[in-house]
Amino acid sequence: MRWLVIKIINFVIVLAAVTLIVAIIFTGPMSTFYKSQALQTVQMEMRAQSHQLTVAQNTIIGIAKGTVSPQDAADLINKLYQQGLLTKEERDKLLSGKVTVDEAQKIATALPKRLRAILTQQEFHAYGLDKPWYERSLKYFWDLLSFKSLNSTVLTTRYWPTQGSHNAIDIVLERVPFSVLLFTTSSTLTVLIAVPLALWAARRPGSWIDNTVVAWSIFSVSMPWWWLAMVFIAFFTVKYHIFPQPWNVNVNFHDIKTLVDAAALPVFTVTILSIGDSAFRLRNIFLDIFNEDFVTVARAKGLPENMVLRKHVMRAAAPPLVTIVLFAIVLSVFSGAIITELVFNWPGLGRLYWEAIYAGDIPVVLELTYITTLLYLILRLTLDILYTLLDPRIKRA
Amino acid sequence: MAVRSTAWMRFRLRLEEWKESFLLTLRPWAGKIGWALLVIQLVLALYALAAYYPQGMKHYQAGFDWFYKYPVHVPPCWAVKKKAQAVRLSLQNVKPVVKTKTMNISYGNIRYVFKYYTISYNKSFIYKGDALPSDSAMLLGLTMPGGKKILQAKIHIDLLRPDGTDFVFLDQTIPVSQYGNKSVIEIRIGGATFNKTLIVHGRPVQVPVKMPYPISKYPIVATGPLSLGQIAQTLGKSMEKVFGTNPFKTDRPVPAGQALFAEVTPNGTVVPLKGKYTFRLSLMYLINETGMTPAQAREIESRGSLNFYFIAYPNCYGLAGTDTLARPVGLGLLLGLPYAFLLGFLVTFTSTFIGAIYGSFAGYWKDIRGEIMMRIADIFLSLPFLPILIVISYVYKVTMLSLSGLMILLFWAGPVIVVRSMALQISEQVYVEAAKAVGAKTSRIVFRHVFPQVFPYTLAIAVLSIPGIIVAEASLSLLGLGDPTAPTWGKLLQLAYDEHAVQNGWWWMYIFPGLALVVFSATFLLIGRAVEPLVAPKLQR
Repeated sequence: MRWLVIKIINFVIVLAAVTLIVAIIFTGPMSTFYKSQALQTVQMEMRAQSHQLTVAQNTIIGIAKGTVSPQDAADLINKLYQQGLLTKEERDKLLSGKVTVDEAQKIATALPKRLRAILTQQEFHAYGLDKPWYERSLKYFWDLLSFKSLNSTVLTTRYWPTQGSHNAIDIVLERVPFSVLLFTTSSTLTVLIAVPLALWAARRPGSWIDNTVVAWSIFSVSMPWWWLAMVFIAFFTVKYHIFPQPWNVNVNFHDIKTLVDAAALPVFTVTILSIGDSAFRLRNIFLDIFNEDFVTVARAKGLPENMVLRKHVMRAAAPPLVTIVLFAIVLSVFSGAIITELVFNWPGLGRLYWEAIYAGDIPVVLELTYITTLLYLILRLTLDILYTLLDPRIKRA
Repeated sequence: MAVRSTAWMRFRLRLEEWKESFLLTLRPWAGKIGWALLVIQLVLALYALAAYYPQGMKHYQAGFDWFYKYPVHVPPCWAVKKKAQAVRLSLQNVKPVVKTKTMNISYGNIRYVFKYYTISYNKSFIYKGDALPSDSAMLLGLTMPGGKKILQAKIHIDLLRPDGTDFVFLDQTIPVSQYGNKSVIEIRIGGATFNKTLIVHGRPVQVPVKMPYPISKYPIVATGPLSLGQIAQTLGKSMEKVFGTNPFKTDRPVPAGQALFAEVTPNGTVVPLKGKYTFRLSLMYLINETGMTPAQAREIESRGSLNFYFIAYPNCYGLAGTDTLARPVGLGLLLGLPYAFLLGFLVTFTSTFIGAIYGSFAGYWKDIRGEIMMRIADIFLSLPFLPILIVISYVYKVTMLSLSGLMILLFWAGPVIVVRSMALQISEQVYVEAAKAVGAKTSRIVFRHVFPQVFPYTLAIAVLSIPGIIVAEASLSLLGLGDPTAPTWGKLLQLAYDEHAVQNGWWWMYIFPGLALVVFSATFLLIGRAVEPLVAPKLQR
């Protein structure tokens, strides 16, 4: 059992390290960025309140000079005290009216500084910047590893019955159905189409179907998915109105017809693109098996081609085939394509990434990364263990 | 001597080997096409560097004067059946007709001399285009003879069309100051102003330049001594007489820049009006010449100057059209090539080189050191690449070089696992054992025996991973994040995405940059696929 323990320890180490690195990268640089943004907001807020501040200063000096009676200014002074701009002694002094002009001047000149400090404190608290970034990233790291739910700073749930929840796990999980609808559907379709296609191509290497598979694999790998998405949108929704235009559609799970309509073009695009890569890889696997000796022997002893395919080729191709299919389908549940979803206006996990980064919602970004990485690593570990159990040729190291 | 000749022989042999394997990669169709495309693109990239580096490249990303030269978002010429005629007019070589009228007025003892100048320019051209121009623009720079002596100034510009109708651009008095004033106004009749330097009272006043608007949305807007709003009003009024609608108001069928050359047929279609057009521009000054000698009067006259340009933009441009910043897309494709080569080669070759050396060591050391190295590589392989790239380039301003450095940092672990499994097999060979027995150092064994055998395969990996790098950069650019000064193809796609080229049907803005990406990436995939079978290791299953 030693190899199993080693594998699980490795899994934990990699998961922890990735989480730590991501927590540091996303918290550290982002906080410098948000600090400058927060200071800008403070500046704007100061400018907006400058008039009220001048009024307050004039009133305070007016009390000292005797031009304003303390009773008239009581409301204002109490308000300033509640805001934290005046200390208790200063308030009492001002209300009793026994202040010298010098003292009043001092208080009045201190007001903008105090206001700025209070506003900065508020803004930093809102962005979560009141602690140093390493402390925060370590806290995030620990919370993620212990599956404690993080609280988002900006984003809230939008599609679940409980709208407005700040729970980061909820925010991530509510997008999963959209990702499943888009990516799991298309990877299932891809498998259903690519396996027969690859078999067909591998049986006749060099034929037109084989060349098409190879050429399309080259094109599908070399183009950005979102570019083909743009082209398809222009062709299928703007030139010919076959599918609804993505920027006019607001998808949700209450309106199933609209949802399916809107999902059709993205599923089509993603399927077409992922067929290229997976058909090529499967074709290579099949091609290797067709060149093996046992296939030649099976053919030589006069087995019908059908039998050769089912009993010998498919049997030998099963392990890598199952790996590819499982990997594709399970991973697709938590996968997102950031820009493809942006172009298709599809509220999946990829767009959530961009929304969270754009809004500066570090907890959501971290939660999303953590869940995706966790799923990926668990899947890899499971397959690793399964392979080792099934195939004794693999060294248990 | 003998040693040297052996080295030479070894070098010759190596050369022969390389040549042979190169010829082998040329055998499949993929290899032929790939190498041919690579050569063509390398030549184009070198040309782009020679002709446009570095000024042209910066200018492409940051220049605003493309509007003088090129039309805004017009399709490529091969896609347009009916072509418009481009018109460029200036009054530089036109001799004005100057009429003067002197008025002598006596008031008591004083005799006043007022001189009334009328300077008129006429310039004709023949419009023969089969389609309407995409837009028209007018540049008017005017310095008045000025001084205290100028009392009144008037300007009148109009366009006399073949059908006898008359479009009046401007017919108004110009406010004069006692110092004389100068105004330079550039207008796009159908669109908006782009560049205005108003010189008021001798000082230039920079009016902030805004991004161009879509033609049909905004009428001209301006301030200054010569009001562009006045032009819109005057021109709109005279156009209303001809077309029945004012093209400067919103929701008009024909943008005003095109309406200058348009004619509405009885069945309601808009067609170009062919024939002879005449621009008429006249300036009138009333100058107080009391007490001046004729020489002084002549000097005052000569101080005034006028610059006038009129441009009707064609409705198509070149092989790839122009984008919404009036930049030719074809030039953008050419300028993006060197950047694609730089990023692709630098990132992939450096990162696979690092990964190969790392993997060789990890495979050679079969103890805890190798295990630790593999865990580190595993961690780097499990990092989410694109989100990290997005976050870092969102926070810090990246240049092309720092972006490549970042990508190398993220992608170096790519070949480690395969290289390690190769190195594991190699390090069990007899010659490695022999080297160890002789007492060779680890670094010598790895660099002498392990790494050279791994190296050809890592080259293939590097070539095959170029497309991923290029696509990643384009994705970053689409989000508006990459190097802002580098005219990469991703930047062109970003502009198309931001300006809603898909919705507006400006297909040339995104089809061509995307195709350039596909061709560039496919080149390396084709070469890589041709090279791979030659160098791929026979791994044990």
